[in-house]
Amino acid sequence: MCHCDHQKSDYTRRDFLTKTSLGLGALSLSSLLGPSPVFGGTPSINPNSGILGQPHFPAKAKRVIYLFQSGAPSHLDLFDYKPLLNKMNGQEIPDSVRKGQRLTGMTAGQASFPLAGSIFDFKQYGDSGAIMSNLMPHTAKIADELCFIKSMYTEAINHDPAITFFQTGSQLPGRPSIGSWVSYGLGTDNENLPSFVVLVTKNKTGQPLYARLWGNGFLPSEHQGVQFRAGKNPVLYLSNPPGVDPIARQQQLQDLEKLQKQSYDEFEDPEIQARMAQYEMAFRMQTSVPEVMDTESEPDYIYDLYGEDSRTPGTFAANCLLARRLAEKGVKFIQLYHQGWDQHNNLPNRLPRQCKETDQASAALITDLKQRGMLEDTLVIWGGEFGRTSYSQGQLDETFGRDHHPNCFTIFMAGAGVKKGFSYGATDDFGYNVAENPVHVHDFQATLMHLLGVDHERLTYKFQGRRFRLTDVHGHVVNDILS
Amino acid sequence: MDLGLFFGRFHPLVVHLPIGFLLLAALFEGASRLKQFNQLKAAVSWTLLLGAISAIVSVIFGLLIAGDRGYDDDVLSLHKWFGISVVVLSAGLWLIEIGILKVSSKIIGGIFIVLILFLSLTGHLGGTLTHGEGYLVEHAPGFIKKIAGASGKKLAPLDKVPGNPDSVVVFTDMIMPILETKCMPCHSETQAKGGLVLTTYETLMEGGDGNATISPGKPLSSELFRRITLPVSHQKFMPLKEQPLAFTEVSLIAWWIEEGAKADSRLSQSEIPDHLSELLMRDHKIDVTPKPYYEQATAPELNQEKNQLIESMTAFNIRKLSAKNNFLDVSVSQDVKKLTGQEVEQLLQLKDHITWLDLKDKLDDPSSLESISELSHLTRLNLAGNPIADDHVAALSDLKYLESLNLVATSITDVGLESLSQIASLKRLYVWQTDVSRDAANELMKNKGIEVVVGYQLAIENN
Repeated sequence: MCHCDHQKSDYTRRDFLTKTSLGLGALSLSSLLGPSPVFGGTPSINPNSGILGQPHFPAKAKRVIYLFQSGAPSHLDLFDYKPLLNKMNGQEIPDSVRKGQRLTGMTAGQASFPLAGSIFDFKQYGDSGAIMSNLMPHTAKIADELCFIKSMYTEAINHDPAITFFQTGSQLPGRPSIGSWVSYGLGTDNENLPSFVVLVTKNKTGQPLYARLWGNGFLPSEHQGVQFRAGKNPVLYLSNPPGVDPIARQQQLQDLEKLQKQSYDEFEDPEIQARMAQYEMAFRMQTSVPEVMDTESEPDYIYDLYGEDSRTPGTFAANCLLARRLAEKGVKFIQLYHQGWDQHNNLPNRLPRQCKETDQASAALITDLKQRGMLEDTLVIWGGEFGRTSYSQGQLDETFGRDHHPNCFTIFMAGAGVKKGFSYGATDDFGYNVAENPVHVHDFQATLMHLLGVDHERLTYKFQGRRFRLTDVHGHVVNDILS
Repeated sequence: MDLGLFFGRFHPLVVHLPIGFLLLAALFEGASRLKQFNQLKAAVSWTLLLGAISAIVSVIFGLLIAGDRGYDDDVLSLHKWFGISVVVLSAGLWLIEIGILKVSSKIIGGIFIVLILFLSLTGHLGGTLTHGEGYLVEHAPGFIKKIAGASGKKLAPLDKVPGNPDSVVVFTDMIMPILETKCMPCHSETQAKGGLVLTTYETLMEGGDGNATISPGKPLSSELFRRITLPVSHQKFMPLKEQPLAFTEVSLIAWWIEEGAKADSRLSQSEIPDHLSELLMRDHKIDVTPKPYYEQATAPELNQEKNQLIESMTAFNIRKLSAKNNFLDVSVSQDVKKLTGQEVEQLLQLKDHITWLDLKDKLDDPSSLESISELSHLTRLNLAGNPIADDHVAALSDLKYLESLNLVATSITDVGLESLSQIASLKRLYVWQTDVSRDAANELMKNKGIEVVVGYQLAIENN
C-alpha cells in the first residue's frame, strides 16, 4: 500500500461510528447557501432534530431559559428563612451542625464562626405562601408561578469547579455543557439561529466566566453555545468585512465549500463537517441575528415591564428581553450569566444592589412568557452554583459577609412541566444542612433533561473509549416537582 | 386461659438447653479421644442425658406452640421432624454411652456428627420461623448473601404494578396482588378457610360464611376491611400468617370499596384522593397524576404513505412527540410568511395524528379555522396574532380534547369567550392583547376552572 494513502486506511471503527452519526450534517450540506429547503422528510430523519431524531418521551419543555446567577446568591437572605439564626445571631455555630465541614481557604483560619441572621425582612407571598425576603419584590409578586428547590447541594466549594460542575456535570473542565447536550440530542427548531445561545451581562466583575462553560467539549463543535454580545456586533466576525458585498461573500463561501468537501472526501474528518455546518449557520445568521437583536420594535410597556435597565444593551434586563425574543424564534437553550453574587463581605450593601439588577427583569421574563402563552412549553431556571454560610466570614458587623457553602442552597424554576406555587425540600434550622429531600446537581440535570423529553441515561457520546453523558453515572429525576 | 400455649411459649427459651448440653457432650466426646483429656469420657453420658431430657421437654413445648398462629407450614414441619430426630439421636447415644447398646467408637463419632448437624438445622429453622426468612444473612456482606441464596429485599405486592397508570385496572393490577400475597395462602380453592375463596373477583364478592366480605361503597361494613384493620392482637385480625397489610395497601382497599368495588375500573379514569396518590408515589413510585390526552391515547402508526406526505408538506415543521408516540407536533416553517388555504387543508390528511399545532402569525384567512376544527385530536392550539374574531372561534368547540388555546393578539372579545367555554376539556386560555375583559376572564376561571391569562397590561390598568 502506498504510504501516502495512509490516512485513508486509518479509518477506524470509532471514526466510522462518529461519522455515521454525523451523516446528518452531510444532508444539511446540500442546502449550504442555497434557498433553505425545509427538511420535510419523515420526522425521524429530520436533520434538524438532533441525534435522537425525536425525544425519548413527549417533552414538557421545548426550550429552556437558564438565568445563571454566578457567584452564588445567599439562600439565607433571599429564600430560606431561618428565624433561629436571627435568635442566635452572634453565637458560635454548634459543632453538631457544622460537623467538621470542609472550609474554603478564606475562612479556614477563622477562630470563631458567629452565626449571622438575615438582616432582611421575610414575608409570605401569593396563594402558595412562598417565603421570600424583601430584596426581591417583583419576583415575590409571581411567587405562585414558581417552583422552589430549597434542598440543592453540590460537592464543589469553589466557584470554578462548582459552576463547571453545574454546567457540564463534571468539576473538571472539558465536558460538554448542558446546552451543548441539548443541541446535540434534540437539534434545533430554527435553522437560522444556533440552538444554544449565551448572553452575559456586560461590565460586571466577579468570578470570571469562560467560554468553556458553554463549550461543546468532545461533542461536534457546531453544538457549542454562541455568545451574543451587546452593541453593534452581537456575534463577533459575523458581518462582512468592509468592502465585501454579500454576493462576493456568497461566491467565496461556495468556493470554500468545494474545497472543504474535497478535503473531507480525502480525510473524512468529522470536524470538517462541523466547520462547514458552522459556516453555513454563520451565513444565515447574518440576517437572522440582527433581526432578533433589534429590540427597537418592542413597545414601551414591555420596556416598562422589564425595567428601565432593559433599554441599555448588555444589562441583565436587556438580556432577559432578548432571551424572550430568542425563545420566540425557537432557540432551544438560552443561557444568561449574571456575575457578582459573591458576597464574602459587605453583604448588607452589595446584595440589595445585585437583586435590584436582576429581580424585576427575571420576574418580567416569566410574566411576559406567561402572557404570550409561552410558559406552556418554556422552562425558566434561576440559581447559582452553591449557597452561602450561615455564619459570618470575618467579624460579624454591619459589613459582614458569607463564605461559600455547598451543603444546601435554593434555586427556582417556572414554566413547562414543573409544579407552580410549590416548594420542594428543606434545610435544617441553621440553613446549613439539607433536612429533607436532597437534590444533587446531577439530579437537577437529570430532571432538566427529563423535562426536555430526554432520558439522561440514554443520551450518550462515546469518547476516548467510553460513553459519556451529562450526569455521568449519577442523577435521579426529581419526580415530585413535575406537574 | 390456654395452658398449652402458656407452656408452649417457653419453647424458644427452653430450646437453648439441649443446644448447649448436646454441643458440650460432643465436645467432651471429641476431647476424650485425646490422651490428656481422656478423663472427660466419664462426663459424656451425663451431659448426653441432660441434653436428651431437655430436648424432650423442648419438643413437647414445641408441639404445644405449633398450634399457635402464623407459622409457615413447610418450615414448621421440617423443624418439627428435625427436632424429634435430635431427641432420638441423643437418647440413642446415651443408651450407647451407658453400655445398653453396643457399637464401635467410630460409629459413635459418626452419630455425634449427624446429631450436631441436625441440631444446627433445627435451630436455624426455628430462627426462620420466629424471625422470618433471610434474617440471618440480612446484614451479611454481598458474597455471603449470594452463597446463602438470599434474594435481598422482598417485593411488596404493589411494587409490581405496571408503570403506566392508564393501563392499570384497579382490581386486577392492584387489589388482586395484595390478596394474593396476604390472603390467598389460606383463602384459595385448596384451603378456603372460613368458606372464603379470594382467587377471583366473583368468589370475593360472593364472600365466606359470615357477613358480606365486601359491601360496595361501605368499607367499614365490609368484613374484609374490618378484619385487616382490627388491632393486631385481636383474635379475628387478618392475615393470620402473613405480615399485616401496610397502611398504603389498607388505604387503597378502602378507597376501592368506597368507589363501589368494581371489577374493571381503570386507574386513569378514577379520581384518586390526594393522600392516596401521595402514598402510592411515596411507597411504590406509582405516579397517578392525570396524564394529558396525548399520553393516554395512542395515535395510529405512521405508515410509508403518511411519512411521504409529511415529507411533501414543506410549509410545516412536523415532528413526532416522541420515539414511541405517534402524535405529531406541527409548526409553520420559518420561511413561510402566511399559509395558503391549500396548505392548511393539507393538515387534514394528518388529522388522526396532529395534537400540537402552532399557527402563530401565519393565518391569512380566518375561515381556515373550519378545517382546523376537524383536527379532532388537538390538545394545544396556538392561533396568536391571526385575524380571528368572535364568530370564527365557535368552530373550535368541536375540539373535545383541546387543553390549551392561545388567542393572544386576536380580535376576540367576551362574546367569543362564551363559545369557548363550551370546550369541556379546556384548561388554559391566553387572551392577552385582546378585548376580553378581566371580568369575563374571572367569570370563566370561577365557573369552568379554566385558567384565563389576560396578561400584564390589564393588570396595570386595574391597579
